[in-house]
Amino acid sequence: MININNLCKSFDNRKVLENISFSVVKGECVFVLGKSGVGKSVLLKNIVGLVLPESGTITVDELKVDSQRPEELSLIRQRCGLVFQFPALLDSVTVFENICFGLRARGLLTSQVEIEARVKEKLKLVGLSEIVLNQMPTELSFGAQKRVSIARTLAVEPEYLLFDEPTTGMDPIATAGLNQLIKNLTVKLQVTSIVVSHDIKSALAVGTRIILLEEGGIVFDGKPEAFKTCSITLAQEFQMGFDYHA
Amino acid sequence: MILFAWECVLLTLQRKTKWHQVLDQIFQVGVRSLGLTVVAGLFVGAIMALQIDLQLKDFGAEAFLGGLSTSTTLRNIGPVLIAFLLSGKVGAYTSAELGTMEVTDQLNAIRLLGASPLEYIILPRIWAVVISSFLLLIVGLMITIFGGIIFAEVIGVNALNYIQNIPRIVTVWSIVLSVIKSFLFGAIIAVVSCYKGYHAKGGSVGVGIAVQSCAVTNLILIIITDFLLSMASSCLQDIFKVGYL
Repeated sequence: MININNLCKSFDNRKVLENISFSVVKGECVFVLGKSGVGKSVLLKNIVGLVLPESGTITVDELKVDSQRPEELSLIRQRCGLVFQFPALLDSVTVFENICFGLRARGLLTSQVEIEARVKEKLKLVGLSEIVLNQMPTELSFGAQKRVSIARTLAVEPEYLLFDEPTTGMDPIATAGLNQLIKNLTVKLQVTSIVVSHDIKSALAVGTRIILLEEGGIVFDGKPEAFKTCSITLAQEFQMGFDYHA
Repeated sequence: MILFAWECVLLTLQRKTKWHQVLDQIFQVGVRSLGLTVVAGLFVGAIMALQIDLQLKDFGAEAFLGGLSTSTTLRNIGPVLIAFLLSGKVGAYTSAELGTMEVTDQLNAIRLLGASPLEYIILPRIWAVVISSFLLLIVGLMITIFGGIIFAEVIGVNALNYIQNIPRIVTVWSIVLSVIKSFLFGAIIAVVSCYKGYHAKGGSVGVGIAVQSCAVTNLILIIITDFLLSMASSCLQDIFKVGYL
C-alpha cells in the first residue's frame, strides 16, 4: 500500500502541494487529475524519492521515502516503476539495452536468454515489433519511444506503476492500446497504478478511482461514477472539455 | 565542485569505473577532436616561431629561435591555447550531453532503474575526458614543435639548426611542467564539464546556462592554474638553483 500523509512541497516559496493525504491499496488504478502546474508530476516524483517532501510522510509497504535511508529508497524504487512524461530513454544505447537496463542494474536476471525473452515479452506487451530492438531511440517516433519507455519500466515487473501523462504525444489508437494495457495490468495482474493525466476519457474508462487536485490540495477523491455527477466546478470543467472534444 | 570531484575519486578507488565505457567515450570525445588539435597545434607553433623570430632579429639571435620558441610553447602558450580549444569542443559537448540527459529525466530514469548515474554515466565520461584531453594536449604540443619547424623553414631558418637548438633551452623540467599542466588542464575540463552538465536545471535554457558556465569556468580555472604552476615552477627554480625550469 502507498500511504501519503500531509505531504507538502514548495518551489521558490510557491506552494505546490499542501497537506496531501491519501492511500492507494493494491489492485487500485488511481487517476490523478488537475490543471497543468498543480503538482501532479511532483507528487509522483515524491513517491519514488526523486523529489523529497518538505513535510509529511510517504510510505510504500511500510518503507519510508527518506534520502537518509538509501536501502529503503532502493527497495521502494524497485517496487515502484515510474513512466516519465517524456520517454527519458538513454540516447547512446539501443532499444534492447534500454529495456534490459533495469534487469542488469538490479541483477534481476543474469542469463542472456532470460533477459532477451523478458525484453521481447514486454516489447510485445506495449505493441512494438522486435525490429526496433537494435535501433537507437532517436530513430523511433515519439509514440514508439514512449512505448519503449513503458516496456523498460515493465521489464523489472514493479508492484506499483506510476504513469506521468502516459498518453501525451500518442495517437488515439496507441492511447486506446495503452489504456487497455493499464486496465489489463490492474485487473489481471493486480498491479497497482497511479496515473497522472489530463485525459478525462482515459480516467473514466480505466480508473477505479479519481483524485482531483486544485491549488495544491485534493478537491475530489472517489469513484469515476461519482466524479461524473459531482458538483465541483473543476470536475465539471474537465468533463465539459471531454464532452466538447467528444 | 571539489566534493563532486572527490566523490568521483572515491568511486574510482572503489573500482567502480566501467572501463569499456571509458574506451567508448574516449572515441566519442577524444578521437573526434584529433583533427582540431593537429590544426591548432600547427598554427600555435607557427605563431610562436613568428613572434619570437621578430624579437630575435633585433638582436641578431635567430640561432636561438628553435629553443626559445619551443620552450615558450611547451611551458605556457601551447598547453593553455590547446586546453582552451578542448574546453570549447570536449567540454561543451560533455556538459551539453549531460545537461540534456538531466533535464530530460534520463539520469532520473537511471536512478529509478537501480543504477547510479555517477557510476554509470559520469565516471566513464570524467576519465575519458581526462585521458583524452591529456593525450590530445601531448599530441598537440608535439605538433606545435612541428609547426614551429615548418614555419622556421618558411622564413629561412634552417630546420636542422632549429631542431639542434631545442635541447639547449628546453630542459627536462620544461617537458615535465608541460606534462603536469596537460594533465591538470585535462582534469579541469573533465570535472567542470561533467559537474556543470550533471547539475543543469530547467529545460533547454538550463542546458544553455550550463554550457556557458562550463566554458567560462574552464577558461578561468585553466588561466589561474597556469599562473599558479608557472609561479611554483619559478619558485622551485629559485629554491633548488637547478637552472632554467
